[in-house]
Amino acid sequence: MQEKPLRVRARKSESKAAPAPKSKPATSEASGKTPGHKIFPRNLTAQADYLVPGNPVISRPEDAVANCFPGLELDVRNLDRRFFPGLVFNFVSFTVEKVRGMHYGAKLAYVDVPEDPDLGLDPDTTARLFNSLGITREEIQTLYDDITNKSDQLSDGKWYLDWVKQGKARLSVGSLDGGEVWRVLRGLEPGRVHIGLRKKEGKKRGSRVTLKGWRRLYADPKTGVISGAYQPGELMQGLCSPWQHDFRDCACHYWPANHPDVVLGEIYPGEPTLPGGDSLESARNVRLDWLREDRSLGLASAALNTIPRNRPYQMDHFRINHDWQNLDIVVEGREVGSVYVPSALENANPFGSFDDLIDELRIWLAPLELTLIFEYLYARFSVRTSEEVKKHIGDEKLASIVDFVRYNLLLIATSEMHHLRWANELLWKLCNERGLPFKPVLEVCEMVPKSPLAPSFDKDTAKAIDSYVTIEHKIEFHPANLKAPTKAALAEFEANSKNKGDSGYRERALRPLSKNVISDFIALEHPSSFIDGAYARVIATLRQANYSPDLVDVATRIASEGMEHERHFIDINTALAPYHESEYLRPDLQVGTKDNAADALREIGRIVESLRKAYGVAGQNRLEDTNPDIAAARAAMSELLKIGEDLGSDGIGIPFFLPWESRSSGSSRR
Amino acid sequence: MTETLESPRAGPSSLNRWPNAADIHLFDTEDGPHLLLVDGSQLFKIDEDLSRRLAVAATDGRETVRAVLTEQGLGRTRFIGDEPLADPPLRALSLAVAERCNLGCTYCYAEGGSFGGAARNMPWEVAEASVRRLFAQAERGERVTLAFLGGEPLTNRPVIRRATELAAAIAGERGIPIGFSITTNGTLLTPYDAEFFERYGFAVTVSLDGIGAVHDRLRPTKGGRGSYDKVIANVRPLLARQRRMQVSARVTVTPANLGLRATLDHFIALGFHTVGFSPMLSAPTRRGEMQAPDLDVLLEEMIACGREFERRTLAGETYPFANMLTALEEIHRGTHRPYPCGAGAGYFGVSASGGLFACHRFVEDEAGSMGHVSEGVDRERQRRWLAQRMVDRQEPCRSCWARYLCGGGCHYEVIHRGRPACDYIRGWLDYALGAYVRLSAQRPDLLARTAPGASRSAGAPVAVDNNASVP
Repeated sequence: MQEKPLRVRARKSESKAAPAPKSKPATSEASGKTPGHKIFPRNLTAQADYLVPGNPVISRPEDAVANCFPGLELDVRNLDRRFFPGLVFNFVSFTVEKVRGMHYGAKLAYVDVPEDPDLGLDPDTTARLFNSLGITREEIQTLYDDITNKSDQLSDGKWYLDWVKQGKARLSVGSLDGGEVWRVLRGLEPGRVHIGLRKKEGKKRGSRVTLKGWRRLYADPKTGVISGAYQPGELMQGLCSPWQHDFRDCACHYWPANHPDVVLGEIYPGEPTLPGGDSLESARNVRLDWLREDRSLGLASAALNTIPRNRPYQMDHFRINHDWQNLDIVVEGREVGSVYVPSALENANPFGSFDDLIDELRIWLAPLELTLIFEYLYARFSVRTSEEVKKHIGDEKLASIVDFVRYNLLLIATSEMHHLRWANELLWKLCNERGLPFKPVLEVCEMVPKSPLAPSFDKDTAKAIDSYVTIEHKIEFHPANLKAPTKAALAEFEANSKNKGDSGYRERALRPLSKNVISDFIALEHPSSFIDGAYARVIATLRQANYSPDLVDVATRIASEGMEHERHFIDINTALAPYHESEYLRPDLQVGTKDNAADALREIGRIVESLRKAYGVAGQNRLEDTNPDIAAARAAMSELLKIGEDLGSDGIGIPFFLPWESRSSGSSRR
Repeated sequence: MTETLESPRAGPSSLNRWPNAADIHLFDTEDGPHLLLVDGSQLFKIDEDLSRRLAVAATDGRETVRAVLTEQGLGRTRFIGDEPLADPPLRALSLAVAERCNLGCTYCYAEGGSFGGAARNMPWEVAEASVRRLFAQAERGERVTLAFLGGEPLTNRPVIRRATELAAAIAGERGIPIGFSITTNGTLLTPYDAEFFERYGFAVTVSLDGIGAVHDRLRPTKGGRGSYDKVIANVRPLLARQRRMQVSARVTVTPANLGLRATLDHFIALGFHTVGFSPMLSAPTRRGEMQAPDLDVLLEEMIACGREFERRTLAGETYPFANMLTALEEIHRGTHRPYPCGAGAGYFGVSASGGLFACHRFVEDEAGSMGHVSEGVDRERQRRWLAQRMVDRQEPCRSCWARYLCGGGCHYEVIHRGRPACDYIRGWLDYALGAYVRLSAQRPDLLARTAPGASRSAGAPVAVDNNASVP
C-alpha cells in the first residue's frame, strides 16, 4: 500500500492546521531521557541523586489514594477521557437539576492530534504500538489522517459518543448518562476499537462520524509510567479538593464518618438549664444541622429529616472555605462553644460504703435493667408492623414510621441488655476484687421508679422549675430509702415517709406503647432521673475509692447510653404524635398465659439460664469459656423474636414476668 | 565458570570482572538484579534488560558504560573529584601513652609494645601538649576524639586519667563535644577503670582473639602463659556496667583462629557491645599474616557470620556483629571515600615523645611521620601524603569497583605488605550489598537502628583502632 506522505494538509483556516506529528514522543522533563527501564534507587545517595522519570510522586497510582469517586490524589476516571487517540471527552452527568439545553453522555471536548503520543509515525511510537497492541503503522496513519480531515467538522457544534465497538461487541451509548458511558468505556480492553460520534443540536440529532482506532494503553506496561497524552494537572481535575469542599460534600462518607450531622445547640454558661443539661426553653432543645448556614440556635434552624431537604440551608462552598474553623465542637451530642461544662454526672454523691455500692447494683440496678428489657420488648411487640399498617390503615407514611418505632425500641432494649451484662460485670469485678462470692443477677423488680411529673415541652415557669427540682431531689434520695424494689419495701417507706403523695414508683407492667407509656419511658431515661442518677453515684463511688479504671468505664458507658435512650423515646414520641394509638397499635393485645405463650416462656427460660451460667463462669475469670452459653442465649433470643411476632400478630403479648411471678408466689422458678 | 558475552553475569561477582569499566558493579539478589554506581556508592534495583545491557557495555569499556548510564539518567552527579583533600582540620588523636606492654602477641605492630625501641611511657607534658593540640583548631560544636593506645595503655594509668580530665574540662569550657576511647589487652583492667570509663563514656575495645586456648596461643604473656582467663575475669564487671561506656571485643584474625562463628557467638553472649574481626595482614615479624588460602576461609567464615546476623536481625534479635553493622550503615548512607580512613588527614597518632604520625600503627615509623604536637601537623608532608594516598592514584585500586567503599586498604598494611586481600574485600562487600538488599526489603526500619554511629555515646570514630580496609 502506498504510504501517504507526512505533510501538513492545507486547511481552510490556519488556526486549525495540524502540524506533522513529532518525531519523538514527549519525554519527562526531569531526566530528559527516554524512560525505558525500571530503576529504583535503594540507598540514600541513590535516592538523593536520581529522579525516577515519569509522573510526580503524588500522582502515581501505587502511591495514591486514587479511586473513581473522585479520589484524593488521582481521579482515575480522567484516564478514560482520552481513551481514544486524538480525542478528548468529558462525561456529562445528569444531576438533580437538568440544565436546559444540555445533553448528557460522553461529550467531545476537543480534538487533540498534535500532542498525542499515540499518533506518531516515528519508529519508537510505531514499535511501541505494534509491540504492545499490534497496531500497524498503516492504522496509525489512517487514524491520523481521518481525524485531521474531520477535525473541522468535529470542532463545529456538540458531538457526543454514539456507539462503541470492540471485537464482536457493539454498544449504543448515545442516550446514556455520562457516568454510564464512562462505565462502558472502562470495560474496554486496550486495543482496536471502532467508535461513532453524533452531533446533537437541541432536540435534533445531526450528522455522524465514524473512526477506527484503538483504546490506548494508559500506562507503560513495563515501567508503569503514565502515557504522555495527559497534560500536567489533567489527571487531578475534579478531585476532592480543596479539602473543605470534600468535607462538605463527600458522598462516600469518608468525611461524614468524622463529622456530626445533627446536633443540639450550645448551652451558654450561666444559661438556666434543666438538670441533665437541656435548656429550659424547649425551643432550644431541637436538633440542628451541624452544617447550617444560619448559626442561630432557634427553631428556625431545626434540622429537617432528610439530607436533601437540609441541603439548601447548609453552608455552601465559599462559606465553608472561610468558616470551617468556626464550626462547633460537639460533645455528647451538643455543640460547645469556647467553654465546656461537664454534665451533672460529675456531681453525684458517692455511696457511703462498698457494701452499699454492691447492694445498689445487686438489688436495684441490675434487676431494673432486666425489667426494662421486658417492658420495652413488650411495647415493641404491641406496635403494628409496616405490612399490618399498609393492610389495615393504608397509610404509607405511618408504615415507615412504625418501622422506625419498632427498630428504635429494639435498639433500646438491646442497649439495656448490654447494661444488664455490664451491671453483672461490674458486680463480678467488684466481688473478685474483694474476694466476695458472686452470684449472677437475673432478677426483676416489682417496683419501677418514675418521675411523677413527666417533663413536657412547655415548662418555662419558675414554679414548674421549682417542683421539678424538688422532685429531682426526692428521686435522688429514694435509693437510699427504699431498701428493695418490692411492694413491701415501698409500703414501709410510705408509712415512714414525711412526704405524702406520689412516692415516685410504679408497679412493673407490660403495656402496649400508648402515649402515656412513652412519657413514662422518657421520664425513666431522663438524665438525672433515677437510673441516671444512680449510675452517677456508682461512678462517683468507684472513682473515689480508686478502683481500676475499667470499672469506671463500664459504669460511665451505661450512664451515657441512658441519655441516648431518652432521645430515642422523644423521637418516637414525635414520630407518633400525629397518629392515634388505634392506628399504630395492634388491637386488643393481651398479656399471654403460660399455655398460649408456652413457646415464648420456654425461650425466656433458656435465655435466662444460659446467661446465668455465662455470667457465673465469667465471674470466675474464665471469659473465654462463656462462649457456648452466650451463643445459646443469642440463639434463644432470635427464636424469641420470631415467636413474639407470631404471638403479637395473634393479639398475644409475651408474659415476660411470668417466670418470676410464679416464684414470688412460692412455686418453682420454672 | 568462564565469562562469555552470552552469559555476562557468569562467575562470582566478587571478582573484579571489568577493570576497564570500574564505574559499576552488578549483582543478583532474591529481589532481582542490582546496580552499584561506584561514584557515590549509589545502589539501584534495576531490571534484567538494563542489567544485561550494562554487562555487555562493561566488556566494551568505561565510555560505553557511561553512555548507557547517562541515557538512563544515572550518575549525573560527580561525587569523588580528582583533587586530594586540602588542609583538613585535626579532629582525632591517639596517644601512645605507653610504649610498653605486658603481653607478647605474635603479630603486634608495636613489636611487643615498645615499637622496636626502649620501653617507655609518655610523660605528662607530652600528653598535655597533645590534648591542647587536639583542641587548637576545633570550633564550638565540632566533635573531637581522644584515644589511648600503646603498647598497653593501662600501664600508664596516671597519664590517661589526667589527660581525660583535662580534655573533658576544656571540652566543657569551649562547648566542643569530645569522645574518649581506649584499646587494651584487658589483663590490667580494674573495677576502678570501669568506674572511670563509665563516668567519661569511653568506647573501650578489648583485644580478644578467640575462646580460651585459641586466644592464649596468639596473645601470650611475655613469659609464654595464657591471658584469656584473666582478661575475661577483668572484663566481666565492665560488661555489666555498660551505660555510657561501651565495651567491644576486637578479634585479630590470623590463620590460627579462623573459627569466627563460635568466637562471635561466645563474645556476643558475654555481653560485648559489638564484636568485630580484623584480618592480620601485616606484622613486623611476618608471623600470623594471612595468606591467600587463609583469606578464602576468612571470607567464608565472615559470610557465615553475616548470614547468622541476617537471620537474627529478621527475627528481631540483636546480634552486634561489628563488621556487618558498619557495612550496612555505610551502604545505606552511600558512604564513598577516596581514602580508607582519616589517617594523616584529621587523625594522627602521637608517640611517647610527642611525634605526630599518620596513625597509631605508624608511631615511630618514619614512613608516616607528620610533625610534632608542639608545632602541629607538617602541612607539606601532609599534602604529599594525601596526594599520594588517594585511591584513584593507586594500583590496582583505580580499576576496582570496590574502591570507594574500601578506600584502598590500611595505609600501614599497604605500605609494608601490599594488597593481598582485595578479593576478600570485594567478596565481603558483594555479600554485604546482597545482605543490605535483603534486609532493607524485609525490614526497612532496621537501618536506622543498626547504624553503630547512632548507638555510640562516646563517638569514637570507627577508624581509630580498626583496620579500615575491612569496613
